[in-house]
Amino acid sequence: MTGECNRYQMALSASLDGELDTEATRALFFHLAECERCRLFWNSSIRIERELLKEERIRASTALDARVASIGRLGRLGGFGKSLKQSLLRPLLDRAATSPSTLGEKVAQERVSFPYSFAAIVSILAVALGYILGTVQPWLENTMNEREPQVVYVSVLPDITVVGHLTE
Amino acid sequence: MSQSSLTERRLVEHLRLGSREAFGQIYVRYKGSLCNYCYWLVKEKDRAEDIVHETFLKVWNNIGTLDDSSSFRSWLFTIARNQALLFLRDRRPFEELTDESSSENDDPLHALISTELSDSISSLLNALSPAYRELIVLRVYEGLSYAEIASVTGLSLSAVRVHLYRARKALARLYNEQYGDKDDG
Repeated sequence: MTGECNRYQMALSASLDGELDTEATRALFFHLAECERCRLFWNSSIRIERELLKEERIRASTALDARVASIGRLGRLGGFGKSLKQSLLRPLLDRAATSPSTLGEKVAQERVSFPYSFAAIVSILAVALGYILGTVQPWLENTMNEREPQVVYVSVLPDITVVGHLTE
Repeated sequence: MSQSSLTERRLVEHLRLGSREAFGQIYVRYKGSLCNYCYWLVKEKDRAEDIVHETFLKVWNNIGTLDDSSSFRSWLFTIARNQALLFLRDRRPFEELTDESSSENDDPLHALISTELSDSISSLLNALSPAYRELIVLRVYEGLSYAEIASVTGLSLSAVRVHLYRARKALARLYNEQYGDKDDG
């Protein structure tokens, strides 16, 4: 095949895609009339394109419809709110929107994991709660103790034994 | 307000304003194309749907960053492509999708035989290199223009033109081998 045929076939490909101007297309078809190789390429390309378009295409499932439908529910957030929404609420909404069988399959197929930000937030909250309990509880106890002074009543006195004699 | 007759440009403008109805219409309009495109990139239907979901999540949150409403379609496909590349990067070497050296030097017929493909015409696509396959899917199935394909893939216009020609040539060779026509050389 000549270099000229290469150029023509590249133009044929562009023509098939509607990306060639009229003048260039006209010149192209003059060549096509006299070149069997280019004609074969042209015919094959058209046939393949038709066959491809006849093929059944991948279709979106209803589970995807439900998942995408949940996207707009919380509105748009920015910054921290956005990451919080995506890390905490989005997985919950997605799971809620997924049918039980699909969710079961997903759990079986994927390892169960929490988002890092979710784990980080829970950890921070736990530490903060521990700190608060650790500082507030003794403080409360001290405060209670200060408010009400304790009075100790001694109700039972020990027996007193007198040893020895009194002398003047 | 019924937005069924709105043009894509106006739908995008409504989406910018936070219209969920516009978002839904855009989703209905593009879900098939994106699922099909992502499927041909990652070859797994479930993963393709995950990618499409992530794509629309990004569309909803980042529509404000789109400068020109008329380029929405290529923006949408670019997001989907980036999400698919992220998935493929984690799953297998990145260069499988972006490798452009695997062109005419490869033997597509050998790939066809070794993968035991069916007689279906779309199975011929599987024998193409991922880069060529992506161009054919974007052009033939999704009907994107050369300019849009260039925008989505990051190739120049002339590269799109040349690679589509090479992809067609490889496909024609496969087709003729498979169905017994004469080789076009």
